[in-house]
Amino acid sequence: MGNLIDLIRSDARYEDSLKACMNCGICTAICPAAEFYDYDPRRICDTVQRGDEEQVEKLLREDTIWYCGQCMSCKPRCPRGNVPGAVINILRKVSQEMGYYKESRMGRQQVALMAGIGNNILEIGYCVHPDKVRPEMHPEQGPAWEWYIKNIKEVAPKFGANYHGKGAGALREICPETMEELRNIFKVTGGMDFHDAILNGGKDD
Amino acid sequence: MADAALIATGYQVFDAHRKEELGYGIYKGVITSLDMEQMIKHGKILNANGDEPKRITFLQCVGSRDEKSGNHYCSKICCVTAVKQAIEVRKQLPKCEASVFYMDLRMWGQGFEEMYRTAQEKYGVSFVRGRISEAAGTFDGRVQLKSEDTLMGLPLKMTTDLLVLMVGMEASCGTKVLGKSCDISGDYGFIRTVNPHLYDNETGRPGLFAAGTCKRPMSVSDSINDARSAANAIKDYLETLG
Amino acid sequence: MANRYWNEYQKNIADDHYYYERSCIRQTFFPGSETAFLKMMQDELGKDIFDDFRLHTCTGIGYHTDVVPLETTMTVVARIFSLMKERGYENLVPSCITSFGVFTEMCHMWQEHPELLEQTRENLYKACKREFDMPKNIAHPSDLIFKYRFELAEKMKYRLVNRFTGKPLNVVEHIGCHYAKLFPDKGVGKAEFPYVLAGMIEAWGGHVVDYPERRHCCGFGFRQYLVQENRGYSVSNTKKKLESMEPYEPDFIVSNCPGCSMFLDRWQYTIAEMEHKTYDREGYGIPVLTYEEMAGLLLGYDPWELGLQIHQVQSERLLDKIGIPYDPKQKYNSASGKILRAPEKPENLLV
Repeated sequence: MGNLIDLIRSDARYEDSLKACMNCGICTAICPAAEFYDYDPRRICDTVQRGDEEQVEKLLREDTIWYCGQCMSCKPRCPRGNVPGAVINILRKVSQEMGYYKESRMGRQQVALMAGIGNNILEIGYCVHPDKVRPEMHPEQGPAWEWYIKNIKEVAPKFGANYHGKGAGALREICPETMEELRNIFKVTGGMDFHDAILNGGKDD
Repeated sequence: MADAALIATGYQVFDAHRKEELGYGIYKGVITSLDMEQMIKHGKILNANGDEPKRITFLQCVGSRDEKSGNHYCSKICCVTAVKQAIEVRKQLPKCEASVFYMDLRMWGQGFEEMYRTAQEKYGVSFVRGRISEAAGTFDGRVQLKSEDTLMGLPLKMTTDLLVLMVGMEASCGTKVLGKSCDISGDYGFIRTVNPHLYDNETGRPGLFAAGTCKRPMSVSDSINDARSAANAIKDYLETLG
Repeated sequence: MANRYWNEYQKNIADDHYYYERSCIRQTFFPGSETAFLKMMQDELGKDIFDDFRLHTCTGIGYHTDVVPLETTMTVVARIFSLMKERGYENLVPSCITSFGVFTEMCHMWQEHPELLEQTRENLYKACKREFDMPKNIAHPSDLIFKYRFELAEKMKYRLVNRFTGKPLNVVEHIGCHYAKLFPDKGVGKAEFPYVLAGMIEAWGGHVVDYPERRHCCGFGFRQYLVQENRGYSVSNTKKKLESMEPYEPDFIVSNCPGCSMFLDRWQYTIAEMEHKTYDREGYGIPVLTYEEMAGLLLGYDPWELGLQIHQVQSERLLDKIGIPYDPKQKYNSASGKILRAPEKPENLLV
């Protein structure tokens, strides 16, 4: 068995995500990404299952694995109990660890996501926060959102929020002790190294 | 008290209501192969609105080869049945499209592979290799289905007038009850025999025999052969009793 | 929905002493909903529900955008469980649907792979000297509102009925994918015909709409929205649902996922601006509510305190249909009553 196949199969999620695929197509049938992109979860599971190192490497260097929207609509339907959406998580992990993600347009977006979501978690303890949903970057949010952001300090309390406040409540400032523990968790579990690696141009293959 | 008994408590079809995503019992345009058989028999193939359908779709493996419904096995006879029903539809309604959605076409039995070819060549039945994930009722009483044409590698969404679910064979209630109470229950509640090749009518309990679909999915000819075999086995057994 | 042939799956939902975990997205877009939920549980139902200031993100969005490794998410989840244990609670109530999915999934993985549980215990201890237990019960807030829908109905001032026609309102209910699809038996009604919102709607006088794309994902897609250039995926998925529900003329849409509630609302605005198309007959769009907003409105909570004014599809016409009073002059006031300038109007979508 090749190196990539080994890496994929040694992931803790593998044995629950890919037991054996019979290529029935039920996952692709219901997949929103398959409707929108040139994407086929059945083919991805079949490729991984065949254990062809070359084919898998090709997969990890392309846009394909980045199209999944993680909705998991595939999970309740697969007649063999596979979870293509979770196989995708494993493939994305290996692609990033090997540096292959840099070779595809969709893969390179991981840098933007790390700078966005990844940094949000480490900076303020939220994945998403109004301060980070700036109207100029999100025209689809509309003028009502723009109004809210402009007036948030004065309007948020109306909703019972504790915007940037201490103590409990929505949109509170997460206390320093909690932030320190959160960052330590990232350090101990490799999350911080991963964060730094992706933001610094990633690991080289 | 008898010297020997033969269990022939048979099968029941998979209850299609259990595959909720296919909407049987909810959307009138979704029916089972049993419903279709009745329609064919009475020459009245009608869609949910009571009109002649323009398109009928058959879905294989409903309640078979499916971890989610608890039946991992293949029910053996549904592939042949669907092709037969598709041909009948095309005979009775020559203007109606008929398509069969399958994973494999298991045309067991003499002449049935040829019947598949006849279905394509003479009757214009189309075959799509893909399993249907979901069926939903539309505003106008038709059925919207989602599948993948795996040979093309493309997702497929289609609206049909009738979706026929090829329901699998399960052990009947009587089979399950008897199997448990006599302690001869096998996988999925079917009756377990001593050896599927050599002692396929013996249950292991002296004098207690089993034949037919109470043991596993079978075709008509299988059942008839199995009945003969059981009769012989019982005759041999009775002779040993003297 | 009438004519259901499946059993209402009775999920085990704890009946008191809840530990609340706030949602990043719900706090961002629907903070009034979280306030309303706590008020309903504490004031209307007299329940003990704890709002812990020491909590933080579960990293669910980070996990599903593949920027946070599995081990990290597991350990963050463990910290949340540790805080819960410290406060003396066993029943977890995560406000976010992604969190609900993450917690359920991590507990499931630990049960199947005890070595991962051990590893997580080690990691958590190493990182912050904490210990944890798995919750006895994990229920989404919408499960709780479902469980107490009849008790709440008794206190409600309004019903989901069109007061002009006397007919039940047509309601589209949208269930977050990670509620029903990850572990169907952890959701009320399972995956295909989830009943958690339908039960509320029926108990409160409304009519649930079944339409072909009912189960389709709203299209959040995590990275397919968060990365700007991918947003076409997101809007297309919502558009598919809107087109499918249009013939059924829904009066409003309700969702239990905060992301879905936001997307079903904002993409209507986007589609109206891009294509001059709305999915109601008058050009105002179909109002989208969170289940907290739906329950809160019927209980008589003030619409502007609930936060309806920061939706992009406006709800006044729905409020009129139900007979819920509101003061248009208060709509864009600050918390202190100061009159603020109203938002710009969209070019196409009527507000």
